[in-house]
Amino acid sequence: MNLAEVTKKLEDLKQTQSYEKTFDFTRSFVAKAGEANAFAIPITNEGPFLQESYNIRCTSNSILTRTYHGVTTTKNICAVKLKFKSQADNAAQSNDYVPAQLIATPFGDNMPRYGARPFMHLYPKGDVLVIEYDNRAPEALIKPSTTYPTDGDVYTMEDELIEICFDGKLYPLNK
Amino acid sequence: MLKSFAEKFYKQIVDVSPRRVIYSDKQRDQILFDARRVRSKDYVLDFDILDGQIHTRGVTTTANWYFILTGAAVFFDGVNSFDLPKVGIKFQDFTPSSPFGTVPDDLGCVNACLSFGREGLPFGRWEEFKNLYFSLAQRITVNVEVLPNNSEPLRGNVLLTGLEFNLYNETGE
Repeated sequence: MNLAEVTKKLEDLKQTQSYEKTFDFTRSFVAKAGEANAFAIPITNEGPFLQESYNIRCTSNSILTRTYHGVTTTKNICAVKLKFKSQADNAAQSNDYVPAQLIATPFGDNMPRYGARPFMHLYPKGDVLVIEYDNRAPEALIKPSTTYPTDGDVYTMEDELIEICFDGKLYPLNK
Repeated sequence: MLKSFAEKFYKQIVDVSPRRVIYSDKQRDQILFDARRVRSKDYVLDFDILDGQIHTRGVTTTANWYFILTGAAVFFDGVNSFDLPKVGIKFQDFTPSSPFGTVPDDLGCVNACLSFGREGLPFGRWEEFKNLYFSLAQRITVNVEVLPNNSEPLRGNVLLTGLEFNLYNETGE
């Protein structure tokens, strides 16, 4: 089989057989402090995309200042919550907002690495991924009491950068 | 493509540890063969422990979809406390009678909870555990029990991740 025949064979295969290729796409956005919003991400028009996993990392610029039994501590947190939805089937991929800290890869000394988190979803060709986020301050968990009138939670909300890498397989369709 | 898609899940269905055989290979094959749609789905439950009591939170999986639990993660947001609560998961089946035979209506509570408090992790514990048990049933209730630590109010989230199968090509939240 010469080169021309091989090329033709490959072309025939491409036209007649379905095939798959690995496909990553990344998106990053800033979750504004004190806001909840949503935006849509067109995935690809090449063909259906089978998402196999995703990896998230986020900044922890917001600060929780907690006074409990008169002792004050501070801690950097990311209070962003996320919800993913496929526009094609209008089905949310979670029952509620998922805290980013729960599904993101922590970045810090001695922190465990989550890495790519397996999550399967098939997006048809031309589908749009809708990401909703909520970066509003949680309700204070600890509040002043008679015994400890200075106790309380204070959230100082800041903008957070959310970066997401989606990984999966793309099934290009014949033109 | 559907076949390829379903096959990706097959290992997760049969390769569970500890092994807890609920369906035979033939039954599982039939489920995959009949599946029209397969997808991952997250269920998140929030809880606050304020008063030292056991807190129970429940969530109901999607109607008309079969659910398999494949993993879970827990996040606690304690600032002062090193004493962390334990988490147990309990399933309750809405449909004891399924097309594939009898499904256990109560798989019990996961007794081996989590190994919290890894060395070097001062606050904000994050843990993950996989393949605890799985249940394949149309719409189940997942209950999470959080036992108290009595040293500081805690806020946390439990994330239950699973695969959902739909045999009738239905949509739904």
